[in-house]
Amino acid sequence: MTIKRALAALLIAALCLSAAGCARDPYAPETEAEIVLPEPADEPSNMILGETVDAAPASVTLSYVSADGTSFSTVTRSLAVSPDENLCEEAVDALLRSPVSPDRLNAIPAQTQLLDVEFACGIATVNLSLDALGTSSDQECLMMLASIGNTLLSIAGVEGVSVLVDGRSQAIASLPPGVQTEPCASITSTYAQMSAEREYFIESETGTIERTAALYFPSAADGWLVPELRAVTFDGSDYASGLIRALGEGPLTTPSATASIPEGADLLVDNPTIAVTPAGERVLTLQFSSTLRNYLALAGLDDGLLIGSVALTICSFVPEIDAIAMEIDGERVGQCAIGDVQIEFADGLIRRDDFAPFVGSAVALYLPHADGTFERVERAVSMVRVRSPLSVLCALMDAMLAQDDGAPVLPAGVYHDDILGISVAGGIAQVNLSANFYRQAQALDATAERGVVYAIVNTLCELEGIDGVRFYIEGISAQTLSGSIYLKSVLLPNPGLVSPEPTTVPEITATP
Amino acid sequence: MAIISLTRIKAGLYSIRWKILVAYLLIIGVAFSVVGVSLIQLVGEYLFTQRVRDDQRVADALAEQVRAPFAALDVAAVYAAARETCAGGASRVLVLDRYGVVQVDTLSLLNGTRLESVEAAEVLGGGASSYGFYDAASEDAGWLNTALNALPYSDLMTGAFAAPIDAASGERIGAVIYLSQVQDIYESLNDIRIRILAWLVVVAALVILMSVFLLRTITRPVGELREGIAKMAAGDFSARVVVRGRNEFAELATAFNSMSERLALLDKTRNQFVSNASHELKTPLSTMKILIETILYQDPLDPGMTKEFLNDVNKEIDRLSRIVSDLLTLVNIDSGGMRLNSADIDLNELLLEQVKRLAPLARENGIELDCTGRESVEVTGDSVKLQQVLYNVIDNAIKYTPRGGEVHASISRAGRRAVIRVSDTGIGIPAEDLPHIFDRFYRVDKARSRATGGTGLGLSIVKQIVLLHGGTISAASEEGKGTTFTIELPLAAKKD
Repeated sequence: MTIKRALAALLIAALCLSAAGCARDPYAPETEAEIVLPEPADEPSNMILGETVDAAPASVTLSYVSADGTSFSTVTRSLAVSPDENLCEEAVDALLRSPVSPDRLNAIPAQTQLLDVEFACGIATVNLSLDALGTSSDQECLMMLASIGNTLLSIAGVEGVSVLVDGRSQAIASLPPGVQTEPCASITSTYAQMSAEREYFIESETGTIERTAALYFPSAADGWLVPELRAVTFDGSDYASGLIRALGEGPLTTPSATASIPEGADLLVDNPTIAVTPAGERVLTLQFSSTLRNYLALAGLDDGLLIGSVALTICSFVPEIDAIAMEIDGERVGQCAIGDVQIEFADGLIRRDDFAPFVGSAVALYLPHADGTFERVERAVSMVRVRSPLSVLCALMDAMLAQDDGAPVLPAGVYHDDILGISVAGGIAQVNLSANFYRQAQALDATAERGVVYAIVNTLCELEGIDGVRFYIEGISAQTLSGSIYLKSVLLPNPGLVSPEPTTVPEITATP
Repeated sequence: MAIISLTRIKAGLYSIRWKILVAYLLIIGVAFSVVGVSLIQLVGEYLFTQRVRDDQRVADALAEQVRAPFAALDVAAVYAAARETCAGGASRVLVLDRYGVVQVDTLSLLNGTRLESVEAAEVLGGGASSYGFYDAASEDAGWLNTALNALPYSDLMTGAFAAPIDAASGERIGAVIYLSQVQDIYESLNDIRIRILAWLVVVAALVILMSVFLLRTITRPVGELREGIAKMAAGDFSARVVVRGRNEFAELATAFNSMSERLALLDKTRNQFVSNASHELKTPLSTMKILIETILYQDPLDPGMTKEFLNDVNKEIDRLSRIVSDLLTLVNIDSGGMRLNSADIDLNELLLEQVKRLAPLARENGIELDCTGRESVEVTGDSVKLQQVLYNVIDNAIKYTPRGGEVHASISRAGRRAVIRVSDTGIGIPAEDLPHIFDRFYRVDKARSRATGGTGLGLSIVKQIVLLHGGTISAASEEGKGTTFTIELPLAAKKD
């Protein structure tokens, strides 16, 4: 009996061990344990007001003419510019002022002044004083254009360079130079090519040439004119008609722009003509049919945007044109409007400078939607303010307020002045928001909070020199905005936010 | 009925079949359990160790890869590296800064949130690496639910592997959390468990089937044996069991059959003995009755005849008395009541003594009786009983030897035994009767035996006494030529 009991006890023990072994799961899911994450150190109040951006150094390669005059000699320099400053302008200025040496000649005639430099959408338009006409030959003129072009093309973000003298494009070998998009390595070969083109194009009745032009299109909703590079083929010396046709194709690579004139429509009543005014200005006259007026009404565009689009495009490209004159349905255009701004044309002559203040550049904005998705859109802003984080944020807020896809993500009751200040240093943008902003944001749920925060972060990080964003509320480091996003740390942009499908450009066609 | 069923159940529980079956099942169950648990633990440890090593390696490699771009705040490069790591689709990467804030998420859902994770806390706190397993479907998964709800098959077991991101200066600037599904491991282990259980069920079923057949080979012979014993207990000595195979049950069956045969034979012998005894007892009684009735009813009876008749009655009474005495002797021997008064005996002297006692009978019958003994032979035994043995054998020899014949008795040694031979030149015993001469009441020649006053029990008594002394007795005979009885007895121990 004792042995029996012992065996029974052994059996029960074995079964219990087996059961325990079966029950025990060494890889059972973790239970909650105390979690302690590192905490940032307390920091003093950081009441940022206004906009402060550290001048960011940029590398520029100044391009001089070599001693033999056939190639270029380069010097790399670092230039620090603030957002208010134009790096291209500083680069050209550096080119103009820099000392020369026997093996490094300045192709730009002495005494030449830099009137202004536009930089919008990657296109730099340099306007030199009349002293730049002091070049003795087309080749020297080409040297000057190439020297400036090479210099500016060395700057990151510059995709095309156009050089004007006193607002006029200069012909090289009787041909428009167009927008330079590639560095010129050899003056000799470039000039030889242009000479050959001249023979082929001008002296032959069936020749064509291709040039890159800057086409100016109206921005969709902001009242700016944004340029876009386009390769245009010309089959005659009527460059204006060719440019009009190109404009009619509408913007192809600028999502923030819209077409200024309808495609395919027979708009010009007659071939453009060039006449010289008594003051000695060369004026190109364009006679449009009533189709253009109908299109304006249909498109809902300001007439000033259309006129500005044509004027900027033609005056920037067609050589030795001081102004254009437009007639629509036989009526001379003497004024126009862009938004609330009225523009009067003295003597009915439309100059490039009339629309220079309306040249804008595109900025990328990240617009959050109520469902948590984001959309990357481009909006045009003043080219002067395109590098300003504050301006970009204001444009973002405007765009968010203009969204009409349901509940807006932006907290109600906030506007530009709730952005107290932005400071950019060391690649980090410190954004100081108002207490009102914080208060209004408490109503946001987690999705909306994420939308607001990352709209700002992603948008600001699109600007050069900004890699991350840090938020403050009235200068104080807050834990979160409305409970989800941790604000005591620098936030990096979220690359995966946006759907990969590109935003399509809206097409507007006019009924002829 | 319920009580009967309970009784039957209880009875069934005590059966060998049930006990063996339960024992088999328990052994198999325990064996499978032990093997299964060990196997699952070993395999699980191996699989998990492999997975932890592999996935931790992925996390470490990614952390090294993103170290420089993360320090330079190049989110695009970090994101691209993270996406490449998750190219398979069943994993996810989170890159945290030094405070645990998600800066890169391959699914772009947790950016900006602070990851309350044990692994993140451990690594950001200075640990080299960390990992943990989570059931994403559990309500306790916390952040993991959010982290994983976009993964395919997100309601599965998931592993979180954390690796540190250190700047070139050695400062800890962040951590990589690599999330991968480990459900396949759990499913593999579960699959093993199920297979072991399935095999357990299959094997148990086979064991039950085998047990049924196997136990049948045990319990059937036992049952048959039981039935045979029951029949025998009821008095049917013809019961036999079938002998199958060559195992212990076959031996038991053979032994039972042998016992049955022996019992049947004994029963038959008993019956025969009773019949013979009744007949032997009844015969003198019948003779006595006839003689007495003759005396009583025959009128007048000659006194001389009366005296003769009374003499015959007296002889019958003597004979009856001898029969009863012999019967009692046999009964005493059979019941084990006979006690031997053992002592060392010189067989030579004993034989000589009996020869002298029977010499007058031999002379009277004209038979030559002698004995020879070459050496002294001592045995341990009961002197009186051995005298009876020698007397009966020699007496028989004299009775069944015709006038002019011879009876020789001799004693010798053969190894460690004393050999006594009594041979005669008598009428011999037919071959068919030779095996039965030691049976009780067996007479080759009934008439002759009765005439000589024999009871038919003498040789039976002789044999029993010889057997009691540890010896043997045998007879060899040739009809018409004579018979030789050989008695062997073990020598006394101290004598060699």
